[in-house]
Amino acid sequence: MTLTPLPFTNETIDALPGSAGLTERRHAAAAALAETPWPTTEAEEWRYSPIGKLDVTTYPPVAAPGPVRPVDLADAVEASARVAIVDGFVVHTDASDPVAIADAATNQLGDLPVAAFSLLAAALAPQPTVVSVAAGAAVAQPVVISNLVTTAGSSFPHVIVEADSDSEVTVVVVHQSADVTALCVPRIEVRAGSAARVTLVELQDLTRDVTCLGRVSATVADQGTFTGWTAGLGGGFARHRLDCTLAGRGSAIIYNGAYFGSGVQARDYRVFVDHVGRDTTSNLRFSGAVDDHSLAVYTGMIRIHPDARGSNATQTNRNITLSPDAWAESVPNLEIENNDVQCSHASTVGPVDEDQLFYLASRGVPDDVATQLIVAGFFDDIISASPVAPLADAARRDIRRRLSMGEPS
Amino acid sequence: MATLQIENLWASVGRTEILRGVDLTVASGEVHGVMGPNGSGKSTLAAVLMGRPGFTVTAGSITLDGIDLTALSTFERARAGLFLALQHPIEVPGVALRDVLESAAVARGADPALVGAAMVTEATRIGFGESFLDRALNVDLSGGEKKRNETLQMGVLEPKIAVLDELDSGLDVDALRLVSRRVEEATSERSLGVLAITHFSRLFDELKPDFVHIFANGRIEASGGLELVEQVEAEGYGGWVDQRSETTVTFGGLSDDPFADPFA
Repeated sequence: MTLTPLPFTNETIDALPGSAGLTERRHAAAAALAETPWPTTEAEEWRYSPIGKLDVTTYPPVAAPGPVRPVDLADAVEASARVAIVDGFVVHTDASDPVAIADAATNQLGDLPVAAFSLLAAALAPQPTVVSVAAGAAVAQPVVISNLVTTAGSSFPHVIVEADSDSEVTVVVVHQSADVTALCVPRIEVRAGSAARVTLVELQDLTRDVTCLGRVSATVADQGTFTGWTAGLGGGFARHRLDCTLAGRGSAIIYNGAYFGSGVQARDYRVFVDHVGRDTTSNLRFSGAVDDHSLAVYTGMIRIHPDARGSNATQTNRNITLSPDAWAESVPNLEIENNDVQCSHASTVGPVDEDQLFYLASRGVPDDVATQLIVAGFFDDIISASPVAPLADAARRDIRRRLSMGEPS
Repeated sequence: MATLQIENLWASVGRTEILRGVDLTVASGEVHGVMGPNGSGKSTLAAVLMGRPGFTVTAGSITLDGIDLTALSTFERARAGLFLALQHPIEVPGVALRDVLESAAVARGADPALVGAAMVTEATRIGFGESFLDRALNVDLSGGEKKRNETLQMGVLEPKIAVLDELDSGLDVDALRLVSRRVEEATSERSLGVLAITHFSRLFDELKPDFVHIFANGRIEASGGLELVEQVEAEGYGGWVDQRSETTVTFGGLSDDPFADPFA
């Protein structure tokens, strides 16, 4: 275990905005990070990933936001409130009751994380921001967050969504970038209160020289529901980690993910759901396609804690391999410590179904067109699950474009 | 006029020979009924005609108007005018029938803008609810609905020759009548040639074949008219099945059956 040098100094931290308490927390995170080795593929949660090729020291933290530019996809969504983040800095907010947007107070950030990249983010996130929704409020239109990467180096956006009891809100996050070589480490935390209904809709459409190590953490209180949808399309090495704790009785997570790899993209999904409370429900569906020389990894760990009786967990991961040089790995896991539960998981990896191809060909559809139709259809149930139409349409367009044009590796 | 000509066709699945010298000619406007017992290779014939993966032609020829179909891909056979209604239509999640038929229209140089109206017309002709047209291909359709869906596609695609593999299975009496009438109308309106495969004679109560063929032992053992249907009804297929030709698996050449009773 070698400790890789850090891409920043104490002076880097002191130059960041925020309170003295926040600066102190950043230094504590940096100190902890100095004692923490960077992950390697020897760790199960990074297995099969190209983490070994990532040299963090080549990505110095971006010191100030680059120029603001429109993010068409985010702007296309009608919003109740907006947050514009550029290179990790919040450059614009617009919110009114019942939504409030503010810099996070130190006590809203919780304990220091353990994992290396989470510590890196805790040390360097310039403006952790809290989006809060008042108790009992149903927010009519989504809260739309654009995360724009415009500058070479590393950036650390951090958004916390606090939905008070019995509130309802949809949060849309669009990740886009200029054509730069960058590392983006976004952190999104969702805290769903009692009977709160939080929906998080994410579209990652970064350019190919951006490495994205994203993490969504959610805790759901009793009778609360966290609904997630994500489309992973852009980036080079793009990791999406989801941690969800179903803490309260009757809480639930419903999560749909779609991803497409082309060229030499690496898509890396790690999903951890903890059923802590009784009668909790998880329903995870991830569907992906890999073309050219791309790779995709899905590992899911559903853990049913001893007290979580009456829990119900389903997990599905399906992969289509469109090229002999593309590769997908699927590892759904279950750890069950209570007998009174219903759990199922399924995973598939394989080329386009031969029978389906034959069927369409027998109608007079050429093989290449048949493949396009079948793969687009394969994604249909996941894509259609997006509650935000412009993002679903964008994902559909992207998938169809890749299928009809192909892409050089 | 179109002619599908099958001459001395031999085909296998893996190392098992299923078709053993099939001879059959189907011309425009004709309805040929092929009857045979389970396992005789009828569905293999349908699959081989359409070029389904997993089946290998080892001898003989299939031509459509002189064009060698065995050299063509499935798509090319369809474009040449051959259609297969599958015994078990494949479910294709997320793919709309309309997209498939429009893509097929584009591929054969037809106007895709006409497909939508043609689908509605065909659905009406066979009593198929229009609500089914928006469903993903064959997903959540009953057996009978899938067969109507196949018939609808045959109507829209306007092939020269249609191979109907057990089109009757899954259809109730009323649906069978509507579907059979639609096929017959296609033979008279557009001179569709039909090769209808079944193991029940009830299809031929509705769809009157001009020629009846008894399929057994991987080939056509008898050809004639409707009197053959009556003969099957009365006597079964027993008289045509050649016991020696039943598929047997040999193990290392030592014995035909390693589990055979040595004292028999």
